[in-house]
Amino acid sequence: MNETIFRIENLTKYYDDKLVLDIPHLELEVGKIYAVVGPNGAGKTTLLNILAGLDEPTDGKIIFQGQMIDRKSNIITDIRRHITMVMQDPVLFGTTVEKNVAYGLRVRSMERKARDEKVAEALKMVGLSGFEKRKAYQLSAGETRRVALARALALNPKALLLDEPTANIDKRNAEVVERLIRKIKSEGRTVIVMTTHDLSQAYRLADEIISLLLGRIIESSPENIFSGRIEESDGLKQLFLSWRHRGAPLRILLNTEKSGDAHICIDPKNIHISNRPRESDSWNSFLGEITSITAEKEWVRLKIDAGVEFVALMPKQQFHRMNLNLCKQTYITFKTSDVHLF
Amino acid sequence: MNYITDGVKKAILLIFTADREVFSIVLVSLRVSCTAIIFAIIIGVPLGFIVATKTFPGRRTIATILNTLMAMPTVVVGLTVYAFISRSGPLGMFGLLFTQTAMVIGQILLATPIIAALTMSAIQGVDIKVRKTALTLGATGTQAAWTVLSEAKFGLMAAIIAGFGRIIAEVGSAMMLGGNIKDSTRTITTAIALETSKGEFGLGIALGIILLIIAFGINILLHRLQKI
Repeated sequence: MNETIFRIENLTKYYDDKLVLDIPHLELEVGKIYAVVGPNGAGKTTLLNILAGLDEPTDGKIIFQGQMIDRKSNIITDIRRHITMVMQDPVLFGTTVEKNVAYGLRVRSMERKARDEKVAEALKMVGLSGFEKRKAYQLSAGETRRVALARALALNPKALLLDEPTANIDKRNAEVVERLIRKIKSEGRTVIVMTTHDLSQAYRLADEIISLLLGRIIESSPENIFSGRIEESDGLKQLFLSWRHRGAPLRILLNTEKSGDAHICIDPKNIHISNRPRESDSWNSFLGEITSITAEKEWVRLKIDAGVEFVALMPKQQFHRMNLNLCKQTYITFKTSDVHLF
Repeated sequence: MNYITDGVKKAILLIFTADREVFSIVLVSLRVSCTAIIFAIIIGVPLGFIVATKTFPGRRTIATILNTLMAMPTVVVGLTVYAFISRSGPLGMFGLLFTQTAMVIGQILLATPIIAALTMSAIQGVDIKVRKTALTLGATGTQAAWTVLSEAKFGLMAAIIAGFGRIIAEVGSAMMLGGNIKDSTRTITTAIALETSKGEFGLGIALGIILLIIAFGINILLHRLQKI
């Protein structure tokens, strides 16, 4: 087990009266990549801002290398100097690329020669050597993102926080960014916490996935999260989604006493693919079409469009046995007891 | 019409012969306005920055007051300062009335609200992420504040130029507080007012041209700085 670098204890964050983050305990280790995933408003960026010491929790503690992150303490700048965040749609200062990348070194009073070397090295890492004298405003979105990354990398931070590092940039630039993230990880000295909307990217890059929903970490996979309204119909509790399934609102059967607005999630491993529906009050069955198949070590990840997209994870052997392929119509089934409610 | 052409001819002559009186008047104007603008910057820029970036009770009221004071008539400033520094006023013992110091005080009061209000809007125009970025790159609070200010540098420059433009060209408070005393408190604007009332268009036009040249020079300077 690696050394713990961040420890969160009983963290809560409210904006006005709205709870945006509630994390009782979380530890992050050096040398790992953590992907924070979840829908908009799940609290991903707030978590990064708090880890970066840019925002304050309403309650609770964040310990970084044994020291508490407290924005009012007089060592906050010292702590911040080990943690760097690259924001979503980062801003570059209105000057040259070189001065942007050198910024963090300059505020640390690093002397000119060493600074120039670091800047050149960081720009080389992001593949932008020779861009030193360019004005920041002349860069494309992808180049801007890479310069922002170089600006952070020049500081050799112990914690690198990346907010949606590949959102809104083209594929080529996104690949460069992903390659860089892997390279930083391979050096093993930094913890990387990145938020992403792209689950496949999270699986590709991260050692661990932190799945947030309404500010809370959910233990199951971040897929198959649905929101709707629980109502009783035909004597059974059902979650009515706004999506439609074969002309009628999609309804998911579940075991609960609750009513009203709710969020549910179903672990992809608990979603089964079958050629027949299951006619039972303790099972959900939907007919859908396979829209994507991805192999992952001993598992195969399938996306099935049944009015709403479900993700199922099945063992490779079973996948081959069932002879499944793209666009095939198939049933997905899952137990009412496998529907987790939040 | 002759008196206008005569006036222009005399003006050109006065400027090119570096007339002592013209020189003295221009010097007083520049000295008073430059001193005033330095103090107005020292007060106005931090004030505008604080109102733009900090939240505290009364912040909106201060912003409204600053915006209102931007358009305050110069004679009202003249009147207010006069009331304080005249012999029977609360600050009468310092004997400031009809001195360059009195004029500087008046001009500080005129320029500060402009600089503060325009600084405020320049700072508010800077992306909120700039400060956060500076902090996350390891800047201290002060370094981050400097970074925000430097991102707003064109706006700040415009604020200072606007403040300077107002005080170098104002006549009301300079006349009331300075008294238009020759070689002491006579500025370009008060001299123009006096010469015009005397029918001496030559000196008036000469000073008018110099005032325009100063304004032009400042704008050129601003334009140059924006290219850096």
